[in-house]
Amino acid sequence: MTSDRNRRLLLLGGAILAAVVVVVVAIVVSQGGSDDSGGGAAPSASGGQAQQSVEKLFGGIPQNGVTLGEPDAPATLIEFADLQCPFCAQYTTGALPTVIQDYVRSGRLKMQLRVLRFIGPDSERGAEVAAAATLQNKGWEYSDLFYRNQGQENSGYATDAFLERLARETPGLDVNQLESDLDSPPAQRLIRQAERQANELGVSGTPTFFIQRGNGAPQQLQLRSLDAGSVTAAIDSALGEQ
Amino acid sequence: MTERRLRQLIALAALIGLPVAAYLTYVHYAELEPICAGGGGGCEKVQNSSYAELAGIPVAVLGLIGYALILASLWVPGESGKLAGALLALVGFGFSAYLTWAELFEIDAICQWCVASAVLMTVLAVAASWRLVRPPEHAVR
Repeated sequence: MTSDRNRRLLLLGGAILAAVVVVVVAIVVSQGGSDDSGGGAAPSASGGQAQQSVEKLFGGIPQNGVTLGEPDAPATLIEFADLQCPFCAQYTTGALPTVIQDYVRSGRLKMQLRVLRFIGPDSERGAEVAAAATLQNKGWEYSDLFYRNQGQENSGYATDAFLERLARETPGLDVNQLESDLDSPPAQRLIRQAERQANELGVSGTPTFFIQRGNGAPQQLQLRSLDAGSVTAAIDSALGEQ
Repeated sequence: MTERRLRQLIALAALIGLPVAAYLTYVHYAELEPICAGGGGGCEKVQNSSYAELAGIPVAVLGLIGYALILASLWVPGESGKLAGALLALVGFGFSAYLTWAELFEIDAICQWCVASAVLMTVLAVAASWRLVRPPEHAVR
């Protein structure tokens, strides 16, 4: 009897040990092995805060490929950007939340993000991952996180580890799927589409914005500066609301 | 508690857990917001967080598979069925505890569906462990 009881307790002990191992491995896998500092309640890196900001900014807005916003919105704001471009980062972290809140969430505008790659190799690598994220309708979030972590231009900061960390921080992004989509024909097509459209519209720098009303010809947005007030005034003007 | 009662308790908890996990799986793939009693967007925030997936697999799908396997283990005869049930329930309990910690301290939002699942996994872990260690009924007659 006693030996049988001991054997069953041993079985339970083994099951608990195995469960602990499985759970720990699962947690390490889910966190990419990068965040096990155990530093208490507060997020240990700015990554957590950036992630929450991105979740808050884009949460609940329909996203389909490069397009953010209601599909039947009457006008489209098209942005041409390079992920290494500091002015694009300035616009994204400064004015974009206002544009999203005032125009996209209210259904007045939908937005398209066309990522170019002309500044250098870090732009190319960033654009490739952003295109793969766009295939999962997460290109806006990924690009936003890239801007928040932007390094010095062409310093080689967009390493595999850097790009993967941002991918893991991108809310809802399937990192395995992203890796298999990198350099895939659909992802390459997205990059080529952006470059072709930029050529057609005569884009010579970033960020450059166009407003397209319905299916009309895109009209370039004339901006005095990239702050929220200037951007919204230019949008209002282009929409004929001022 | 008798073996029969324990089996009933495990079956009941797993049968409650299955539709909870199925609903969360549905809203995940349909890209809908889970209905969260009291509002506040907690469920949406948790569902859209990086913790909602494990290696690209939605946690809700893992829960669905877990509940189904725990239920199925009740029909596996002998000690191996009890051991499998306990192991699955303990893994589910451990992962639920981790996710509850993440909700409280990392995501700063609580999803009632996840809390319900965590409570069910706790019940299952206790019941399945108890079922494993208690003496077989023929030995105590």
